[in-house]
Amino acid sequence: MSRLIGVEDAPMEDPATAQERDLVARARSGDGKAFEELVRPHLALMYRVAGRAAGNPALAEEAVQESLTLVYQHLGRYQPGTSFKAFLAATAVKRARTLLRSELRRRRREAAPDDRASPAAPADLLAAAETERRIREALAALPAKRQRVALLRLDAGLDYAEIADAVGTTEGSARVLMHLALRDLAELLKDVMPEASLDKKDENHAR
Amino acid sequence: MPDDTEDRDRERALAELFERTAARPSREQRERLSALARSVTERSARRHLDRRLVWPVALAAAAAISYLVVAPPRGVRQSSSNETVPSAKTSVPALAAPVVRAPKAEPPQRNASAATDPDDFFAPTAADDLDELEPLELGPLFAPSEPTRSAELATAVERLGKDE
Repeated sequence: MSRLIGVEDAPMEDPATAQERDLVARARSGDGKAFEELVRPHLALMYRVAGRAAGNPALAEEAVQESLTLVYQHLGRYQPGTSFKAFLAATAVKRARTLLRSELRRRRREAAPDDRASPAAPADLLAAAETERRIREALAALPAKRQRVALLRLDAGLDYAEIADAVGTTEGSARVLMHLALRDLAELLKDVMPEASLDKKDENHAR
Repeated sequence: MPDDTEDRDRERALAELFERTAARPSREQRERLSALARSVTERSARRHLDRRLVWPVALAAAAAISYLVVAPPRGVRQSSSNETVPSAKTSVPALAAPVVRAPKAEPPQRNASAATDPDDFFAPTAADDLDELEPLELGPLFAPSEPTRSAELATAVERLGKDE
C-alpha cells in the first residue's frame, strides 16, 4: 500500500531530464561518446559566451576546450535536474575571463601589439568589430557578478532560475543584478544601441 | 523596484546588439570541439592515473635518496666500531678493517720484544726499519764476502802496531 502511494506521489521525470541524467551517468563512468552527446548541442553557445568574455576567437576556442575538460572533471558536482546548459555556459564564461586576464598580463609583459586584428577588412566588418569592441569594453566596466549575469542572459539566453544556479545566487538577486547591468550597459552603449530602443527611452524620460 | 517595461526594452535592444556581434564557431571548430569532448574522458582518466602514480614514485625516490645519503656514514661507523656487519655499499672499508686491525694490535709488543730479544730478527722487518738490521753472524764457514767492521778494525790495529 505504502509502495503504491510512493509511486503515485513520485513526480514524473521529464524525458529530456531523464536522458540527460543517463548521459551524465555514462559520461562519468568514462563513456566519451555520452559526454560528446551531452555537450554537443551547447558547443555554439559555449563558444559564443567565451568569445564575448575573451573578445578573441583563439582565446574563445581555448576557453571552450578547457571548459570541456573542467566540466568533465567536475561532472560529479552537477545536480541532475538543474540546467546543464547553464552549467556549461557559466564554466565557459569563467574560463574565458581567466584566460583573458592571463593573456592581458602576458601582452603587458611583452608589450607586443595585438597581431590578431585584421586591418584589411570590409567596412561593415570593421563596424561590427568596432561595436563588438565597445560591447566588450562596456561589459568589462561592470562589476564581475553583474557582468556574468549580463552575459548569461544576453548571450546565452538563460532564464533567471538558470542564472541563479550558475552564479550561485537567488532568482531575485539575479533579477536585480540584471536590472543594474541593463541600466549600465544602456548608458555605456547608447550610441550603438538600435534606434527604436533609444526613441522609447527618450519618450520615457520625457514623461 | 526595477521598471519592468524599461528593462524589457533595454534588454531587447541589447540582445539584438549582442546577437549581431556574437562569435560563431566555424564547422571545423565545432568538429574539433566535438572530438575533444569525445576524447576528454580518456585524457582525464590518464591524468587521474598519472596523479595517482605521483605518490608511489615520489616515495620510492625519497627512499632511494635517503638510502644513498644516509647509508654510507652508517656503514663507516659500523666498521670503526669493529662490528663485522658489512654493508653492501661499504664492502671495501668494512672488509679491510678486520684484516688490518688484527696485526695492528700486535706490533707494539713485537717491537718491545725485539728490543729485548736479539734473536727475533723479524721484529725490525715487521717494524719496516731497515737501518736497524744487523748483519747476520753465521760463523766462519759462512763469512760474508765483504769484510765486516770488526775485521777492518783488527787489521787497522795490526797495521798501527807494526808501524810503531
